Amino acid sequence: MRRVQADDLDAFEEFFARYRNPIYRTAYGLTGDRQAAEEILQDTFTRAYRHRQAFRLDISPLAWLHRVSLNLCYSRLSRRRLVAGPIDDLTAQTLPDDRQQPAERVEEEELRQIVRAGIATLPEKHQAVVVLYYLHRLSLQETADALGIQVGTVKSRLHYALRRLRGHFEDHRRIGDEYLPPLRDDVKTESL
Amino acid sequence: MIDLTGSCRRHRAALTDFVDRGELGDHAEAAFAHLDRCDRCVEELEATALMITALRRLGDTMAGQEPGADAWPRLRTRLESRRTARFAGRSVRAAHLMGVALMGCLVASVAIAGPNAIIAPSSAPAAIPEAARFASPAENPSRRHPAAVADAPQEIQPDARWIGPDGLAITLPSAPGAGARPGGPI
Repeated sequence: MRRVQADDLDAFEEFFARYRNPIYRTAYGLTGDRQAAEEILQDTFTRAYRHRQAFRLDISPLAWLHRVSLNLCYSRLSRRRLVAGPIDDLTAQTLPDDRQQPAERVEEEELRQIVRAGIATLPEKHQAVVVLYYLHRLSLQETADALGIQVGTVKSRLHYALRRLRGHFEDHRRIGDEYLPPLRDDVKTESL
Repeated sequence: MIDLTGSCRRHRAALTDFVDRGELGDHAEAAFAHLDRCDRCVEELEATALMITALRRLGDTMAGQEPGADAWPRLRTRLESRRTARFAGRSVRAAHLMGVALMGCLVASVAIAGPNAIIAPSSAPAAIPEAARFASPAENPSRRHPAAVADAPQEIQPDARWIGPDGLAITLPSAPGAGARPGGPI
């Protein structure tokens, strides 16, 4: 980290290699789009490079990186209604498995959208715990270490987050069919 | 959201820990006993389990995902171009500062020593202040307006010399109207 702070790009490459996968996976899990995840990864590490002097040497930068990537994910998701992305090879790879029934696919994607939207409504510190513990499948201890907090704090944040997420889920279940994943502009135009 | 009573709330954490991680803590027995007689908590627990499953399924979509092989080369190019832009920005700022400093020096020297300080600094060869004096309308009547020249006394010194634009020494004429003779010694 000292070498990173001393503007050593080779050291920054090591830093990138160490933390790129969890950040990319978070971005991919929350956006469901490889291209968006790649861009979020680039933006997160560009910010990390810009703020490298502010990193503390005694704690893992993972929590900071997650916070930045989550913010980038949610700002991108909120823009998605307005921006129509091109369908390329990367986007095509995210299409669902053909072996799955269409109704199941829609239901599962809808559930994923509800969960993503629900995580977006959580306060930052609860988002980080949920992402590391449920999405990255870290243990309670690993989550606590990554965030520099106690295991008990992780547990209480998980309880709070689950309660909030359940509330969010209930709200969507109540409105039933009114909840749909946001349509892209090009799809809207074609259907008119 | 399901609103829990105080009794339900006491057991909620233990039930969630059990559903989430299969933890059987000190309060697990009491929580299970509560569950047998509370439909609201059963409903609550089902909703919690569904939420946890949904979260884990979302996590499954992330598992094994890795960025493309060109992620680092792209990032490196981006960081290097930012670095270059930053240094270029600094150079432009430094050039501006140097320009301002130079202008400040010039203005200060004019304010302190007058315009001749710029034309003929004190360290210049003796011929330069002399030439400056001749170039000044106050000193050299030939540079004055014709009307002013007619009234002014003729003060030109014979054999006065100055350096022309081509670097050669010019001897000023001893009488008005005679041409300058270039190439003479200083």
